Amino acid sequence: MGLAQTGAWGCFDEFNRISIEVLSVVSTQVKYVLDAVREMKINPAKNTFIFQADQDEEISLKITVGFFITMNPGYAGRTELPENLKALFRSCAMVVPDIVLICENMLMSEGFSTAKDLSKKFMTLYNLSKSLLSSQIHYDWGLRAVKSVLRQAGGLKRAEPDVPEDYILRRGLKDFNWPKIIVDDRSIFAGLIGDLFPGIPDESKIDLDFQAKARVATKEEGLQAEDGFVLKVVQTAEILQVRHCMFIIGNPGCAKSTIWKVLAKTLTNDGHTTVTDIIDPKAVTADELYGCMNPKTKEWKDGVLSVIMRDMNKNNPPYKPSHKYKWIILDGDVDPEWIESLNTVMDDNKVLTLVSQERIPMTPEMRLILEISHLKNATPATVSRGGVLYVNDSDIGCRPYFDSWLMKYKKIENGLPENVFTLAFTHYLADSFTDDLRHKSHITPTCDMQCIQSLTCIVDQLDWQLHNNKQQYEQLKKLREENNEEAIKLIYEGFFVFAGMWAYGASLDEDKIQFSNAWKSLSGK
Amino acid sequence: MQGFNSDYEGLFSNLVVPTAETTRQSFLLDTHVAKKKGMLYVGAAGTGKTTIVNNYFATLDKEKTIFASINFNSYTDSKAMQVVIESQVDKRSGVIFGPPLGKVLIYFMDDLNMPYLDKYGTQSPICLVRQIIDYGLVYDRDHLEEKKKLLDIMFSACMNPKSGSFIVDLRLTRHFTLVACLTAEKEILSTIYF
Repeated sequence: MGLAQTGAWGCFDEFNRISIEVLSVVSTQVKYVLDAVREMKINPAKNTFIFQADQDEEISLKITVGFFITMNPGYAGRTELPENLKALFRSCAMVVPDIVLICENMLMSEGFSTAKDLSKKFMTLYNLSKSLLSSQIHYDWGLRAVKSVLRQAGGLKRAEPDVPEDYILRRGLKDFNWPKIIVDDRSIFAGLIGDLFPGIPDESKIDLDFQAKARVATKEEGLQAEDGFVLKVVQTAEILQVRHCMFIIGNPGCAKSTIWKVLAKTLTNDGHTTVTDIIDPKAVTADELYGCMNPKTKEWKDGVLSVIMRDMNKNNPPYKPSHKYKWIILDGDVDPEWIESLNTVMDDNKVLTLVSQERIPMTPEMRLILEISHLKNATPATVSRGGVLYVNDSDIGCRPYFDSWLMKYKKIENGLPENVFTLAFTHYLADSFTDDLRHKSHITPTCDMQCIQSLTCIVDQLDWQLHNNKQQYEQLKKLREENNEEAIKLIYEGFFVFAGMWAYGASLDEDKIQFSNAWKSLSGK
Repeated sequence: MQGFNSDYEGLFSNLVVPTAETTRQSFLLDTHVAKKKGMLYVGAAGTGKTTIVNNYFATLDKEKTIFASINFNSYTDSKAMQVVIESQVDKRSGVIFGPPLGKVLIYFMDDLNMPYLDKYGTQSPICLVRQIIDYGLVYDRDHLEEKKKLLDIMFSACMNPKSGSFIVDLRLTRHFTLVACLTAEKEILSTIYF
């Protein structure tokens, strides 16, 4: 109506996310306007028309009015346009633009002088990656990804103007893409980069200072500052510097949460106070997430996310202007029904548009972190909008967890249990054994982290009983007086074997007996 | 193993005969409750999952633990689940909620995998439980801007992998120690019933 009165052009982005009922209403309305326009062509004097048949309201019309629709056809969670609406619009197919040219121009605008050659290399790499690497949903070699790499490369270039340009681009490409490449594809990707940029050493710019700080923070949390883990923390920090929205993807129990928690601590230690807010978007309904309009009273009711975004934006308590970073952690499955509403937040618009027409912009301090285990239901439109950190199971593993847990036993019984458990871990839970176990039939899926956590939990309690149960404690004391280290060691090994049996064996169904034999032979009994 | 007291007076259907398995599991449950870690029993119908757990919790010290059983079915959604969870906890101070001080509240979720799967394969109550286990946090469903922190609570669960959604999101189940319940052998059945 407004468009018709002003004669303006309107662009309806992502039009087919509207439900089919609304679409048919829209199609009748558009029909009214177009009919009026046609009539006006014949009879220019008639500049009013009746908008809706049931309301005898005449509104004015300007001939210049125009409607445009953009949409992605055939995505999950989108509707098909009804035929009568399709008939009102002329369709125009959009093809993927020639990225080489765009890339060349962007490189030039970022200050690269050999843009032509570099853009060719750039696009060859991306095209080859697309066809040679395994197809993962979180891989995106499209225009958005290109743009963010180029922006990063531009930053690198300005930081070190004297370094040759191909060095810089190579480093940018590697650093930007490395975090999301899964283990199996790493050698291929490294090979591709090496072939395209021959003779350039594989060096990445590591912020050693930040790395050291991350190490300190990890230790403060009582965790192990393993290289693999610290690298992931640093990579997360780098992604967050260039992107305001990122995905942390990885199987359950691969330390996703720990990564962002440690990073938040690192930044806070560094004087950049970081506050976080966590939501599982699927624990509430989509209406409760974004807020909704009461259909009867037209009263607006805020949702979890809209409240948090507004508070962060306006620095309402509990947020303060002194908070340097504000993160919203969305920890839960992605599905188009809620994530598509975030599309405008995740791309360069950085604005959350609510049903109440309120628009909440993201301030530079705000970041959106999605912690998910898979992207099965995400559309390419979503994936291309965020930076991706992929955590492989083997990147961190459960050894650091085990080591952190062992620290508790340093002071108990002169460190005897610590020795016993370290030996037992390598003896009983060797890789060959756990790999073998993974292929046995479990009653429901398990993961390594789950088993090791169960094991430590049972051992902890057995140890507690040993020290608190009178009878057991007397025995322990006796052994201590006799200086019988072997016997004490045997007790703790017994704990480990017992706990391991339950933690690893209890979830098997048909292979229980096989497991029992294997476990017995390991313990030598 | 505890001997069976045949002087039991009460409903015959409530009668539980201790076997090696129940004794074993009671010990394990004891271990886990002390560490506030949940256990997940998985097994086909009639393997005694619910019995093991209920029997164990009946023996617990009521002064220290509160036991609340939640039965899941395909209509359980996160809101219904949250109502049940909140009905058991009291306000302590500010945003902190929990059982009376000094007590531990144990929710036992029966048929964990029964809730309805939405179009994208998510079960909303499962998400809610995971949010609570991971972060001890729920959002007030009537006043969504208010957060509630839950303390001193823990979850245990059991499920039948042959019904419902078959499996549950590994991101939740990884917080539990998994125990498979197999059908009791003949000898054990005969000690129970004869």
